[in-house]
Amino acid sequence: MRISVSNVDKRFSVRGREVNALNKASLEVRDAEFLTLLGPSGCGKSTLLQIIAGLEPATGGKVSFEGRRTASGPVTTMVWQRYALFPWRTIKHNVAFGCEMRGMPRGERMARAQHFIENVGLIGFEEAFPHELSGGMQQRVALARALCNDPEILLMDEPLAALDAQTRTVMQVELLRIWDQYKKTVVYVTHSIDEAVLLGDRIAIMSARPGRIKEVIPVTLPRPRTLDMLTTPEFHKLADHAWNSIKEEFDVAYGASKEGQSQ
Amino acid sequence: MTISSGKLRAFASSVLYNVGPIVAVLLLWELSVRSGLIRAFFLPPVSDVLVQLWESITSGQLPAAFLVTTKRMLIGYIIGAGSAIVFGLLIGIFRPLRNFFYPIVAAVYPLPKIAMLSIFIVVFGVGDPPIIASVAISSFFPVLLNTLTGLRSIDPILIKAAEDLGANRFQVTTKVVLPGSLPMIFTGLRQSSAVALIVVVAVEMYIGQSGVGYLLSWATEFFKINLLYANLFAIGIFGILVFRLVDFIEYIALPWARER
Repeated sequence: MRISVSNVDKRFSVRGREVNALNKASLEVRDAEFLTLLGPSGCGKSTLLQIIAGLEPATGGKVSFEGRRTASGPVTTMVWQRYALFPWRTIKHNVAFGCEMRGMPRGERMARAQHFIENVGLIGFEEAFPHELSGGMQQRVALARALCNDPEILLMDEPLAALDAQTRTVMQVELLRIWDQYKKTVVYVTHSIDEAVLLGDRIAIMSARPGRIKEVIPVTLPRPRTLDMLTTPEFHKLADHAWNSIKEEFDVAYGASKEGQSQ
Repeated sequence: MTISSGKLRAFASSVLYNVGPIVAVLLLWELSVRSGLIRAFFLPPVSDVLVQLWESITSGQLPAAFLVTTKRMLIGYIIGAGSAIVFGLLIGIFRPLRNFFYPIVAAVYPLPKIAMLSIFIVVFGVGDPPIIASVAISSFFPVLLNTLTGLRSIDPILIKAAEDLGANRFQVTTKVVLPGSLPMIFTGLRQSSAVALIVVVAVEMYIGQSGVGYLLSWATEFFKINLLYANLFAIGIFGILVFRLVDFIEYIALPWARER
């Protein structure tokens, strides 16, 4: 499914002060594409993702979806940085949540949940509660829950940012493996350049606030991606390109905050 | 099945740590009275109190009194705490109700609920009803306030996540807001159980014709010092049992909130 984001604005006020989060952000996401959204912190990446998810209204502009593959099921499902698992539900009932809300019969949704629990490597933890699991395992549950909901598009908001470096690397590989099976359209917000290059088909770079899409870099690395690619000259070239583009925005953001301090 | 010596030792030491200090105090009590350091007129020897406790239990006097008191406390508690949960959920979930009732709740809350007893006596006369009403109104507010806090304390991201996964407003309420506020509701239930015990004994002392509170004031009036202490012992043990029961219910009802 394709996503078309055109001229999206977002303004809100924080303690009476108007904040201009997004300013005419435009972006085309292709069908079955893994798009990584990279930008300096506070640039409105998460806000844009929530607008695409329909969880936040845009102040202006429009988000549209084209080319539905299946008749039923939701258009988008989020995977959150802080997992957002329901603490009172066991793993299998967390994973089955979306199907339960849509009235899928119990037997069917439990079988479906089991399938995705197995796929993310959590066999044996079906009856556990989220707090009994490590961060990496909790994010696996969140991924299984999103996939079980069978969305056309997966929206991922820095899903690995809260994990330690080693777990993050393991999860990146897992994510690539799982994405390869389902080939869903993915919009993946991250602040890690390496992650954006390793995972993405294209990298959309956002400007400092007010955020807009500054540049889209096609990732020319072949698929399937492997960790070995992290050391190739091709990878470094792409990462450098992204870094230089981002660096300008960090300078803008840093300048702006210094200005704010002197006021 | 074998119990490892390590586990046995751990159990023995936990018993020692929990019971040890109590035994020490009781021993000190006994010795200081027997030696004449404290006059037995005010503080009978602990052994006499225990003998009296045993007699009160076997004669059926104490069990009968506790039966009456427990009944009053339980009925009042269920009415008070139960209506507080329902009322709390209603005004916590529906904003217009909240806007209307919250100032009233805030105004009534600081009033010492025991003062309402005078009204209950006027309205209900004597017997169980004023006692039950006092317990009910005292149990009401801790549960109500904790329920409201519980509803407010739900992580907003869980609500967003539920909506994102396809939950409608009703489902968000029943599947997220309600279970998420249960730990705070139980905090209220625990506080209320303590308040209910205090109030039932106090009101029985004041207007009761039966029950442990009445037994206590009767023992005071006729200076049955052994009986007085025996009743206090019994109430203390009863209190521990009540709190343990609430904890146990929470343990069973909220398996996900254990040992966090």
